[in-house]
Amino acid sequence: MHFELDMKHRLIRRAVREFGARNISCELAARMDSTGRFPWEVVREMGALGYLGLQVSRELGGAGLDWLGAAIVVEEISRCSGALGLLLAVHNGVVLNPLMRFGSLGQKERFLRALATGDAIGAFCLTEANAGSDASAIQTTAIPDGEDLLLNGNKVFVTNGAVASLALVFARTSMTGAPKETSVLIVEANRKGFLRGPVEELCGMRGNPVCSLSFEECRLPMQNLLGQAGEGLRIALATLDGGRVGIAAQALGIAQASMDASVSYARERTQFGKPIAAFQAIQAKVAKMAVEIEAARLLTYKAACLLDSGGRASKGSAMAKLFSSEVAVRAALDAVQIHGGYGYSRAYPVERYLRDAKATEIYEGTSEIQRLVIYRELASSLASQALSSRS
Amino acid sequence: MEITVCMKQVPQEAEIRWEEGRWSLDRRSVPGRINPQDLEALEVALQLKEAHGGRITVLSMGPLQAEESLMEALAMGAERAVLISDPALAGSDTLATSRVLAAALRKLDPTPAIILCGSRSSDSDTGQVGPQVAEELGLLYGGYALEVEIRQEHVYLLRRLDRRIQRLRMRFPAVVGVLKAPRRPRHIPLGAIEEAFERKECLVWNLRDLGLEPGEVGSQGSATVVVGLRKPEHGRQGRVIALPPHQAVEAILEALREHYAIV
Repeated sequence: MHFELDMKHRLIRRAVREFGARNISCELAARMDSTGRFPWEVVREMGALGYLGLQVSRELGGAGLDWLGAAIVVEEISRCSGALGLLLAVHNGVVLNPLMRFGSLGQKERFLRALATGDAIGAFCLTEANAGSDASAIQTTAIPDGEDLLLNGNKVFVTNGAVASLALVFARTSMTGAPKETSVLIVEANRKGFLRGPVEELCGMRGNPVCSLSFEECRLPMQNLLGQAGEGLRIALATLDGGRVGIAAQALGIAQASMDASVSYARERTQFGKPIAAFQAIQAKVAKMAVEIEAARLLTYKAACLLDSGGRASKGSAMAKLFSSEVAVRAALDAVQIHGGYGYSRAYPVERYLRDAKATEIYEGTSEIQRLVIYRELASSLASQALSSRS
Repeated sequence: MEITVCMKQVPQEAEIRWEEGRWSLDRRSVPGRINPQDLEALEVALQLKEAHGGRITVLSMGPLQAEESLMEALAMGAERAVLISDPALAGSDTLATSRVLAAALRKLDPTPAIILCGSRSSDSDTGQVGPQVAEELGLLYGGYALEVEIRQEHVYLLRRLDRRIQRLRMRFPAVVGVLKAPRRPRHIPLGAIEEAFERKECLVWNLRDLGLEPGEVGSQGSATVVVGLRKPEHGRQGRVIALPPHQAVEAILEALREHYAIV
């Protein structure tokens, strides 16, 4: 068992940290948060350096990283800006990965190259007004019409929504005759009937242009079906195992940023004639953050390594996502407390970390759903153990 | 054109530790990075390669952990990396280090037309290794270069000297010491890191590979020995100058001169 990153992953971390330090200043992250401006100049540069094709092969213009490498990239970028970390986690984790895994050769050539180089940004559309945790309740439909499919429905809280030029859309179909048949469609944003709602006014992650997407008689050729008809929920489940590692990494980055800010503030801020870092009450808060972040990092990297070794990662990735996101919220809350009144002010970044961290407990499966997934996995392994001990 | 960049792995500033009971830096237990001026030299090399074609070799002397910095240089775009590592090298001063680097540079095939390095290292800050390597090899040395250009048979340097900027023309082959300039070392594409680990490797040479004897290097082969080290004491003192503005300016200038802050 090795607990140190190997040289390659250390270099990946160093390269991304250097990129973040030079290109994503705290001021930029704050400006994105306050104005909602999408930093195209940074995103384009990230695209040129492979950040938008983390796991896509180099032949298709990506960086060819493994899951661990991708997690490190998302962690380091999220340390600078949660909203940019979210862009990467969603674009790479739940758009490019299913395209790589379930896409036909033609679809990969057509869509992956542009996405991997950052010329196109992707979105993932599962959640609807009445379907989120219960993915089977979606009401968006794709009905055959001649050779084509006609897509109708409304998706909400679509990350990257306002800047995406391609979306993976989950829709109810009726091509196999199976009940509640769900399929995934690749929808280019320039198609007629692809409509964007206004950017949502969210509590956190405000630098990411989250919006609703509507489809009105949006006509798609059959070639835009990802995988087989009726494979939608299987694709969703397979995708989310990886996606959760991305969100875990994102939460980890926000937690680390909260601790970094706390340590540096506690050394500067003087009360009763000494820096507040000299007081045990502050030290205990920082120590707790350090322990929790270390544990979250181990869980996250372990889940990534599980995916890299091709093992079953549902439980591991759910644990990583659940724990890291809750650690991020606690770390950000403590960071605000350590900063006192200044922590409650927009003049310091920690209140943003708190607002950003909260989102990680909600999207790509709420904490409650992660606990369900973990228990379900535990129960099924307990059941199979019971079976094998009986036989 | 064959370009060689000599680089040193230095401790990250935040992590500097001294070896217990010795007057040297503990380089083993702390994370390292490429000496910033050497990174500038590598950027210059990459720009020269882009303009004129050629191949870049990066060369370093240090413990095995310095391989990480050389892999980083390969990911940035160097073609070949050589690490000179041997337990007998421990304790080498700048003269012994220069002797080792010169031996490695002689062994490189083909011979480099231009050897670039940082003018100084961020840890020991002597600025001696570049000129000494040139001396060992009988080559010209141009230090403090802000810009390096190659035109036909010559290398042109823009050098920052004490109170002037000098343009210098030199013959090949030459050793050039680079300074930090407004140019910034490029970001490493993530795919290039993958590629470096898949397709490139860092060669490791020891003393025998270089045909050097243990007595020529390490503390035995060194001309200088550090026999003591302490932190200078920095006293801070506020001084209020309450004079009319033009007299105050004079007084401030005088105070700065007194402390050699200006000359």
